[in-house]
Amino acid sequence: MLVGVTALIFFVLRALPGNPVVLLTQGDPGITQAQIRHIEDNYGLNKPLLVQYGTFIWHALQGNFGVSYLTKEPVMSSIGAQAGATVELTAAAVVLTGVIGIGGGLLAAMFRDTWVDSSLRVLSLFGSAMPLFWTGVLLILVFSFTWRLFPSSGSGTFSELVLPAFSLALAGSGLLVRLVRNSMLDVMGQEFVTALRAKGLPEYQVLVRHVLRNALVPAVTVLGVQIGALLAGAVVTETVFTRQGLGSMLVQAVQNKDYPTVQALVLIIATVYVIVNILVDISYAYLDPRVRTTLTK
Amino acid sequence: MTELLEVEGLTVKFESAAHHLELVRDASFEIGTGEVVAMVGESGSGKSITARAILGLLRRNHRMTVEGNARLAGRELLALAEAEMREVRGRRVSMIFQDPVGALDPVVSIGAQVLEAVRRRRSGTRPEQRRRVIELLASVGITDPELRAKQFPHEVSGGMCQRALIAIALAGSPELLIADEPTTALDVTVQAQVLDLLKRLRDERQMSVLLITHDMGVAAQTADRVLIMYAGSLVEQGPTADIFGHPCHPYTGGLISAVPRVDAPRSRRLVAIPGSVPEAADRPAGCAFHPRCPLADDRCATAMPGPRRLGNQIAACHRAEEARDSQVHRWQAGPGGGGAGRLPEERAAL
Ligand SMILES: Nc1ncnc2c1ncn2[C@@H]1O[C@H](COP(=O)(O)OP(=O)(O)O)[C@@H](O)[C@H]1O
Ligand SMILES: [Mg+2]
Repeated sequence: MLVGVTALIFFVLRALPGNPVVLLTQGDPGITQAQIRHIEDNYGLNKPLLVQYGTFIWHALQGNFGVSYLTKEPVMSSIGAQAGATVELTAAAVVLTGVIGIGGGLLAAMFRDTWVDSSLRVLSLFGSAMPLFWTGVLLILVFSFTWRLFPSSGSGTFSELVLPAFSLALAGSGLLVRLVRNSMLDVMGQEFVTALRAKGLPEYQVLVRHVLRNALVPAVTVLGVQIGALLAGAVVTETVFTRQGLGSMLVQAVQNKDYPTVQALVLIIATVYVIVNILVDISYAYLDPRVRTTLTK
Repeated sequence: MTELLEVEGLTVKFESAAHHLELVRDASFEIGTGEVVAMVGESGSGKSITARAILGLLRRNHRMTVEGNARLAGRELLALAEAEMREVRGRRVSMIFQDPVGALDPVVSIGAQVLEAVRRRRSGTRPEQRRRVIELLASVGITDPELRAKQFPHEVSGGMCQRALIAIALAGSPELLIADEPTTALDVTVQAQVLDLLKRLRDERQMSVLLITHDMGVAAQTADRVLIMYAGSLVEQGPTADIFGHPCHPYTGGLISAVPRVDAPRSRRLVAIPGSVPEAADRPAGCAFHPRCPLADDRCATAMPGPRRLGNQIAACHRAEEARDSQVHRWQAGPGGGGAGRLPEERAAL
């Protein structure tokens, strides 16, 4: 899958109109044809595409993603400098998504068919239906312009993290709330829940220790998919909140046809996505002993 | 024998936009201390609903209302607040279920599920509680309890799960165990083992058992008294020997003839009652059993029979005397049914 992603991005980038040499020469109009050819030689841009791709893969396997056309610095070191802010944002958003999604789902299931359930239904519909940039703008309008609670931009302090993390989490948790609610209601229809009540367990123990735990099995799959969406969302969110990070870096690199940076970023994002999904599969086995049994067989 | 549970006029109503039903209608019965009472009826008769109503397990269902009385050692259960009811569940009245694998949480180990029941007594240190779990598992005949405690429901057999559920039910030393078709999902040998276990527990602990089943054979082997339920009503009850010796309701007779018999000629080994239990929404007027009843007359189609005492039995049938005297189940079982009538008495004497 990673190979597919690199190939796709490699060739799509090169099929787009525009020429990286313009960037490399900062659009200098007095440049000669010979100079262009010289630059292309240096960066290997005049070799056949397949050869270029092979070189890219070969270097990438050694951890070398080349030098940015824009900053002339090694791509990996710029990425290293920017990664912290993005990791911070996505980690905060994942935790918030989990808390809002699972907590909201639990509440909706506990108070099903009451006003709690219906308001959560409306909220989660808004959360998942609104485009991410719109949620972000809305949060900025309400919480930084009207109420002046949190800053609308920047990255570094905790209060600057709150709004972007929330806007990301709201988009992802809407679906999760519905899913956790519905799968909890499914589980609550099963005989063992009646058996637990017949055992005299208090209702909150029945719900949290048993029903929720069973309901998390399907919810975790969705959380895994949501993390992919979250990585994509980070790009938008970082732009809306003018934060530093890999998202902003990617947008800039694409706009400037900075091939090495784009390729490295896409590869990293795809790798993270694959790792997350492997972790999801592992957590399955943790949550559901039946999966564990089939795995060990 | 002192009565432990006295149920009087138990009625369970179900309301929805389309229906206004009585799933259980005016059921009255008693269970004595240390007595095994079987409740028998075809599927859909209202047995499980009755059991759940007694334990207050229908309260969460906003469409159901429970009326009548259920007194446990003189204390009214149906009027208890939920918190008080929870103290009754698992400590004074426990319940086990038809599908033992489905009645255990699939993602929690068997030991942890027993431990949860043990902890409700809030006594003892952790290691003591763990030891108690192992003791309980061993006491219901689970070999290698240490290993079983670590396993999950899908890793062991249905019989093992039912034993684990019985261990859970026993953790609070209840006075009454409600067993809702505990052996229906198990194969025949395991079924006999589980029934033996229940009888042993009754003897050892003086525990009363309400054994729900659709199999008259199980009732004959296990019960001191039998309750017959049909379409939400108790149509007959009495001591096991009387019920099998001279059933006073044609439905009881039909259930007896439906017991698979090893000794009978193949041709009439199993005689099912023609037709099936009407859904609560489609019950006919008069006696709910009359369309399937060989003795039904005009009165049965219009007037609903009330319970009447006949000797040791109580039966709700206009023609109870005829049913008793004609022994309708014998001729239902085919010609020369005299022999067929003998076996239940032998069983009851076991
Ligand atoms: N949750 C429920 N809501 C509505 N009707 C129910 C529900 N559970 C059972 N019933 C109805 O109540 C009747 C008795 O069911 P049940 O007590 O489960 O029968 P049994 O245990 O004797 O097989 C059936 O007609 C069934 O359709
Ligand atoms: Mg049932």
